[in-house]
Amino acid sequence: MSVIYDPVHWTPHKKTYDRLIAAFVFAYLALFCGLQLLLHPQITAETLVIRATGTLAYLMLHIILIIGPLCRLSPRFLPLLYNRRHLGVSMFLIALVHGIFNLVQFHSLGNVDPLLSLFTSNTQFGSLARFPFQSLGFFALVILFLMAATSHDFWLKNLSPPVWKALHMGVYAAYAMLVMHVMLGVVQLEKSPVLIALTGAGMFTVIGIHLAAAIRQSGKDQGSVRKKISGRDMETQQQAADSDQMFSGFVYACEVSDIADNRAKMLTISGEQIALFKYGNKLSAVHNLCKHQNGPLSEGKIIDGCITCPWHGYQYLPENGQSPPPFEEKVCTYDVRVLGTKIYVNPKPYPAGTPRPAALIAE
Amino acid sequence: MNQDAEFYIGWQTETPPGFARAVRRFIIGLCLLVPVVAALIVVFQSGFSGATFEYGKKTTLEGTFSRSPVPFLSIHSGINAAGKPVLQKILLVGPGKFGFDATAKYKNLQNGALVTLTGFLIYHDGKTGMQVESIENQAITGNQQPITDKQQPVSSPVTLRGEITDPKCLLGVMKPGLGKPHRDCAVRCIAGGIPPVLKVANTAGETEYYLLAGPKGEPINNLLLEYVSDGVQLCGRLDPEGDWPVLYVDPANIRRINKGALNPGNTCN
Repeated sequence: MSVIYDPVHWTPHKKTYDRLIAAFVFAYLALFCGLQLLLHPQITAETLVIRATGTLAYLMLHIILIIGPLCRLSPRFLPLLYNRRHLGVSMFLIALVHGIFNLVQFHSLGNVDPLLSLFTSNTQFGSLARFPFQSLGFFALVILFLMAATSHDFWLKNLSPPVWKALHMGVYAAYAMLVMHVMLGVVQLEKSPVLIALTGAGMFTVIGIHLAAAIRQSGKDQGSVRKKISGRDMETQQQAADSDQMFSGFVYACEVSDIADNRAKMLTISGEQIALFKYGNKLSAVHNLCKHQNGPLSEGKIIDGCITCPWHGYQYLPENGQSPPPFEEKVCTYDVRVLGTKIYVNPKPYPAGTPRPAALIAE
Repeated sequence: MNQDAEFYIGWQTETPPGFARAVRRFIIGLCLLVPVVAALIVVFQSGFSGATFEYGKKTTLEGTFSRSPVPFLSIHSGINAAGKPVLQKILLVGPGKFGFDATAKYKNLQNGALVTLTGFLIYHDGKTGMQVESIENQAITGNQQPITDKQQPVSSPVTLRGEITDPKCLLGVMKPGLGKPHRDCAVRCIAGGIPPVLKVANTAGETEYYLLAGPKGEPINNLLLEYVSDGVQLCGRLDPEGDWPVLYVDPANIRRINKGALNPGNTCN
C-alpha cells in the first residue's frame, strides 16, 4: 500500500520475487541459446533471438495465467500472486524484443513501411492455413503493452478498479491470440508432433486449472448462499414474534461457532457477497471484494485489528470498512445481529466506509 | 470452519512455513519442467540449412552482366575435365529486400557489359547469389570478351510442384528462408524486385531451385505474391542450363495445391 506515487513499493518479498524472475529469464535464455548453438550451429543470430524470446514469453504467460487459479485452489500459492505484475511486465518486455526482432527481420528494409508491411504482406484472412498470424501477435502485444503500462496502483486508482480489472482481463484475449499466433505460424512450419503436443499441453493446463478453480469457487459460492427467512425458520414462534421488528430484513448466516476467531465466512445473500468477520466477542460484516483488485476479503484475517486482504495485504477496519489512515480505500458495511448462537446479516449495504456497530456475542 | 492458521501478507518480512514450502515446490517443479520444455523445442524443431550469407565480408568478382530474365553475373569458374571453361551464374540482388534493379544507378547498366562487382556472397546447395554493394564497368580488351548466353527457353513445357519464396533469404540471409513464418518477408523481397524462386523437392530428398519469369522473360513478381509460401503447381517452359535453371511460366496457369503433395516428384502432367 502506498499513499504517494512510488514507482515500486519495494518489500523484501518483491526483491526476492524479482531476483527469481531475473534468474529464471537468464537461465532459460542461456539454456535455450546454448542448446540451439550446440545442436543447430547453423542458426542465425536473429532467428536465435526470435525463438528464444518468443518461447520464453509464451512460457511465462502460461505461468502468469495459472498463478491466479492456483491461488484459488490453494491459498498457499499466494506468494506467487503477490508480485505477479512484475512477472507480467518482464514477460511483456521479452515479448516486445520478440516482436521488434520479427518486425525488423521480416518487414524492414523493404518497399513499404514495416508496420504497413505487417498488415499488407498477407491479407488472406479467409484461410486458416494462410492466415496472417503475425498480426495476431501484434494485437496480443498491444494488449500486453496496455496491461504492462497500467500495472501500477497509480493506474488502478485513476482508472478505477472495475475498469482496471476489465482491462487486465484482456490477458485472456491476448493468450487466445497468441495460441493462434503459434498454431498458425511456426507450427505450420515445424511439423513435429512433439511441438504441437507441447502447445496443446500448455493450453490444456491453463484451461484445466481455470476450470478446476472455477468448479471449486462455484462450490464455495453455493455454500455461501443464504435465503431470506420467514418466522417458521426461527427456533420458536415466540422468538419469531419477539424478533419481528429487530430482525426485519435480516437473513440467517451461520452459527457463531462456524467462524474461527479473527477469520470470516463468506455469505451470498440476494446476490450480495458479504464477508462476516468474528474477532474477540464481536461480529462485523463488510463487502467481500477488496477495493484493490477484488481480492476475497472473506479469505483474509484480522491482523492488528484490521481485516487484511489475502492477496496484497490491503487493510480495512471491520466496524466501518475504512482503511486505517492515511489510506483511503473503503468497502460497504452491513448490519449484523446475534440471537443466541445464531448470526443474522442484513444484506442491504451501507455506503462504503459507513460505521456500523459490531454485534456482540453473548458470553 | 477448518481455516488455515497460517496467513501470508506480502509486505511482512516472514513468509509462513507452509506458504514458503508450497512456493518452493512450485519453483522446483518449474526448474525441472522448463529445461525439459526448452530441450524438446530445440531437439524437435526442423533444424536449419547450411546456407551462408557472407554479410560484412566483401567479395569482388569480374564477369558479364545480363539483365534478362533476371539479373545475373556470369563468370568463368575454372575448367572442366574436358578442358572447357565452366560458366557460373551469380544471381544479383540489391540491399535489404530489394532486387538488383531497385538501385537507380544500376538501371542503365547494359546487357552484356563486362563489370567488376563487389558485394556479399550468399550461397547454398550449389546456388550462388550476391548482394551488390558497388559495380564498375570494364573496358573490353582482346582477352576479355563478354560471355554470350542464350535468353530463350529451350525445353518443351513441364509442370513443377513446389513452394515459391525469395532466393535471397533461401540462400542464407534468413533461416528458415521459406515456409509460413517467412511468408511476409518473402512477399516483401519479391515485391521489392528480387526474382521469385520455386523450390522443388522430390521423394529422394533432392532439391532444385527454379527462378521464375513470365513467358517472354518479363518479371512476374507482383502476380505471384498471393502464392508465396503456398504449395503450387506451375506449368511452363524450362531453361535447364547452368546452375540457375529458369522456368518461364504464365501466371494465369498457377494452381495452389496441398503442401503434402509437394514431394511426389518434379513432374505431374
